[in-house]
Amino acid sequence: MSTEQSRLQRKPLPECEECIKILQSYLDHETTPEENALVERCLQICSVCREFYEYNKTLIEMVKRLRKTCPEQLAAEIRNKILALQTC
Amino acid sequence: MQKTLRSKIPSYNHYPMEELTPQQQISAEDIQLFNKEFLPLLDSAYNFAFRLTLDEDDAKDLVQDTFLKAFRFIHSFQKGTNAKAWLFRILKNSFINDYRKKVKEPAKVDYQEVEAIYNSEEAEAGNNITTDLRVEVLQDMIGDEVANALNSLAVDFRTVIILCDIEGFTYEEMAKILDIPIGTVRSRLHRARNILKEKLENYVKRH
Repeated sequence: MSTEQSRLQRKPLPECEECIKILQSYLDHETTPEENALVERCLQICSVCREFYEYNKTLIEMVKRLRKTCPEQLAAEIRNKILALQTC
Repeated sequence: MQKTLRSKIPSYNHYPMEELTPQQQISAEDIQLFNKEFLPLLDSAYNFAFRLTLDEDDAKDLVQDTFLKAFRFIHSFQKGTNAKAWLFRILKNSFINDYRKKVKEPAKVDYQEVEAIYNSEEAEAGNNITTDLRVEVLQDMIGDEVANALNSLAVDFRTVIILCDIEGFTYEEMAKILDIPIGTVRSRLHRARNILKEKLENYVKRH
């Protein structure tokens, strides 16, 4: 175990409860500068919160990859219909 | 880190409402605006429509209706505001009014039913959050598993995840699109993600 790893807390710190509560908003960039500082401080010293953070971040990234694109035929149909409305 | 969409958000009364009437004559300026601001949003609109309806044909109809409606009501769009949020609001309203009736799922989420899951997870989060949270387990999953879990969420929960995680809307923009307070957006999104995690963890346990 590295020095850094041994420094990490496995038991939640007093700040952890607040950190976990606002972590999702932090990931969505919806937290205040003070809340950002709290989360970042906690993530630096607490492996439990860091694990929770990484898990949520990965989940969001996986959901992001589910994006579908508009079928080309549909896109063409819509463009044509709009064009017809524009010219009438 | 900043969200991709940070443009000015129109107030509620600048979104198309049922009482508005379509403009008979659409100006050349509005046509240009529509082509520039709205047509590039076809992919995003289709993605949202598909995740709402979970049916390719319904999604196609919904996207087509949305774009035609947006074109007819283009005069009510306030230039310089968020075109994507405006379009998505039309799409969401069309889904509720015209398509949701067809979908064989409850129109509303039974929040009480999911409350227990959420509360137990939240309590767990404070005490022992390491139990099932393994990034490696998530990373081993293929897209289909995540898609199935997402699709199995009630539509209100699915919607907030799509708007936030896939489309990158802010909580404020989502509140405008969905006609709900920001606090509700936040709590609904957190609940939705917790239920999604629960579903994925159950899947891992079963396989």
